[in-house]
Amino acid sequence: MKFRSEVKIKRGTNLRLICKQKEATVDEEDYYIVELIEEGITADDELIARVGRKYNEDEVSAKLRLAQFVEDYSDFLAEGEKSGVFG
Amino acid sequence: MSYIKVNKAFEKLKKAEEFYSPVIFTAACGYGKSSAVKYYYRRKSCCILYCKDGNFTEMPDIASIRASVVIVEDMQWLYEKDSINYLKELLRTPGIQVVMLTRGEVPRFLSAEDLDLGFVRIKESDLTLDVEGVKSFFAEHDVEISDEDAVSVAAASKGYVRAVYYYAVRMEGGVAYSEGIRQGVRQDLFKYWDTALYDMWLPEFTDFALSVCRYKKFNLEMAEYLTGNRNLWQVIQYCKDTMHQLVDEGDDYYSFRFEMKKFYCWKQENSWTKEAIQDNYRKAAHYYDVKGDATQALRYYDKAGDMRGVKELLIRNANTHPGLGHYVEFKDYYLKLPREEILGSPAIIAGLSMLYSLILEPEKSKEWYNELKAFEQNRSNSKELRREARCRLAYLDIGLPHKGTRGIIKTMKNIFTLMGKGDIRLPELSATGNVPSIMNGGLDFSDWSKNDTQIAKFMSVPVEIITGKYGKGLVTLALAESGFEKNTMGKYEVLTRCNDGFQAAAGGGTIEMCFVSVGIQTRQHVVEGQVPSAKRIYESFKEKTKEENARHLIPNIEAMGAWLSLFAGAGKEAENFAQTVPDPRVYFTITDRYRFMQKVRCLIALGREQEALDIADFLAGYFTSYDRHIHYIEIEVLKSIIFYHMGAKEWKEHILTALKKAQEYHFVRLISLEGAAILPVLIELRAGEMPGDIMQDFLEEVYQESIKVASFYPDYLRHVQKENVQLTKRESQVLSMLCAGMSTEEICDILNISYEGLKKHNRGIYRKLGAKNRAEAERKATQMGLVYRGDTN
Repeated sequence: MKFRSEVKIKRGTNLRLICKQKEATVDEEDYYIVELIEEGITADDELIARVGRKYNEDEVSAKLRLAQFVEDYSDFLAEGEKSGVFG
Repeated sequence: MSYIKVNKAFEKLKKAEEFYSPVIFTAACGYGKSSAVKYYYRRKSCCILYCKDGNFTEMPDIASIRASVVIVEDMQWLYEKDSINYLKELLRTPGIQVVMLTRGEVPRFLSAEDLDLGFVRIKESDLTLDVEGVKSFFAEHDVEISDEDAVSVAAASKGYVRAVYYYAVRMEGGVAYSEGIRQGVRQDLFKYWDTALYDMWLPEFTDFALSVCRYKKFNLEMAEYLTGNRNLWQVIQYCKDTMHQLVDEGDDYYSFRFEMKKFYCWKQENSWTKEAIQDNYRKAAHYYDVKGDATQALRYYDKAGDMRGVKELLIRNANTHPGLGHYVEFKDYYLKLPREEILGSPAIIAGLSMLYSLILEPEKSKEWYNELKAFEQNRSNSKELRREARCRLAYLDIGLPHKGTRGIIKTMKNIFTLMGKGDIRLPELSATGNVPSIMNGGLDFSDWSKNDTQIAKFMSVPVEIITGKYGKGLVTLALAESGFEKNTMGKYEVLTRCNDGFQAAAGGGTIEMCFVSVGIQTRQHVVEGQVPSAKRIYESFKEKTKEENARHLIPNIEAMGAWLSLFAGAGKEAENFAQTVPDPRVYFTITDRYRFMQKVRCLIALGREQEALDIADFLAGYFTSYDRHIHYIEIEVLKSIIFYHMGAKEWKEHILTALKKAQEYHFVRLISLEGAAILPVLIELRAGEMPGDIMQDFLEEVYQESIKVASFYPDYLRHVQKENVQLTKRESQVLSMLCAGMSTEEICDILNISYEGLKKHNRGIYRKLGAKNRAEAERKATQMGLVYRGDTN
């Protein structure tokens, strides 16, 4: 999972995502995920593992947290890559 | 008093007489069988034999019978071997015509004779009095009757002679026919049957009749259950042999004929105690309950005053998803429950919340939702009930239609946590809402379409765990549908995913999910110009639905069939479908939304634009308030088509609204699938000034896709007014011959016209039909019903 190439991340009193005409304020609980992506952690399995460790959650809960992130910031995220044939 | 001749019966008797054929009268008591026979044979020497308790009351030596006609009265009571043999011998004696009168059917023991000798049958319908017959009957009884009343009496009595007699008695002295008279005659008949016939019938039969009389139809199993009589098949056979009371409803079901049903209900009221009647209802309710017919079960639990049965059934209903459950149909039963009963049951509170959401009353739904929340938080309620309330709340959080998908992932996270603690078990779920779509199924998941692949990666396992069997195939089908609608997934991948989803659903999942697969596949085939392939898949799935008895899908399957038929232009199927679907403004439940959408399309195709618009406006309100984005786009597209057809400028506003919304998700196909109907709208839109907030790339893609679909189905949602086409006589002749496939030479030859003359007529025909060539003219003429193919007259 990664941001679109044109997305800018602005830090000030809060964290904002900006892409063309769209802008969103990131919830504090999502800062960690944003930081992971900024660090280049874009592989889904790695993200799931890290989020799980950070929030002390099992894999399913971590996946749900990441799914919520995708739903909330879908306008700023690149299309997911298909893994394998019809994955 | 002389007999009123009934011509039909007498004609048959005359024919039978010519060939000495045996005659058998099969009619219930009171049809005048004996009177008809006595009158007809009044000038002949007759021998009358009576039957009682299985035998003839006397069996004179056949050789000594001098009469040429032997009349057998009450043959329904004949069943002993010696008497049967005597009758058979009589039938085969030359020079004797046998006339048999029975209240039952032709007895089985005479099947061979019937075949060999060719019985002439005189049925009830041959003995009924028509209007003239009624007038004659009244005249014979010196009772005056107007022509209008004679018609009423003939209709109300159905020509049944005994009933006509009672009418004559009650209308004596010039009393006019009225509803009161009709009710009075009915009571007269009941009393007659009660005193003259009832006690002659076997007690096992009357017990059976009184036990089943309240029900529309019954089979042997149900009747045995209600009576406790395991030999009821003998009683039913007795009924068939000796009387004309049972109606065969098919599939091994029977009912009593209407008048007898009413009689037995009357008799039951007058001879059974209230407790016995309620017990009968309770047994029927239990029977229907066991058989899974919740509607009938509830009805009879209610009649039995069995509030516990009602409540248990409503609770069970609340465990089913709206596609299978009967929330709206059971609304009155829910509301009839005392408030303290409702508030004591989390399942029923949840059922009410769901019910109100389904009928577009979200505020009331929220009230009941809050009651449920209060129940869950109230520590004075037991732990088990509070746990049940938590389950129900979780279910409503996912499933309440008016909530949309806002916060659904958080809800699923909570549910997953509670499931992990063993704290909840969800009732039945349906992601599809019985429609052939998953993105636009129980809820609108269009927001997930924006990043479908990524969401699918994270959500597939949680969905599987939370939804269980109801989610088998869900994720791959959701991806297929999203890719199809956005035109970002190739045909091969869409169809392969559909196949995978179908297999997953068919093997341990649900048939509702199979329907989703069928829906996506048919749309994919349609955009490729392959309606026959789409229809094959559709027909095959229809068969599967029948085999699996998935009756709850039938309405939407029929709606899909109507939609597929529109690609060939409006026809009978569209017309019939539009007739059968009610007006949502009169009767609405959101579970019918797919049917209502197809009804709008059918109405457009039939040229009933105003009706289509009225329904579309109503639906738009629902789509907006329930966050149904996909339906909202669809309805705006359809409204633009309607206004365009009407020549009203509002078309532009609606297509722009649809485009703005659709481009958020890149939903190309939602618009382009309307092909030939939307293409003129898009052409005109592109020709004018475009607002800046419509993305040109998106519009261009929609436009190109629409051209493709329109080229396959030029008649989709197109309506040409037949009344506007005024062909001359010669033009009609030429058109008929063209549609019959005749060549130019043949047409000129038959009509004796020149080639130039034919060309002139053709030009006229094409112009009036709005056709460019012969093929299009033929197609339009057939579509409009101007000709039938092959008509050369």
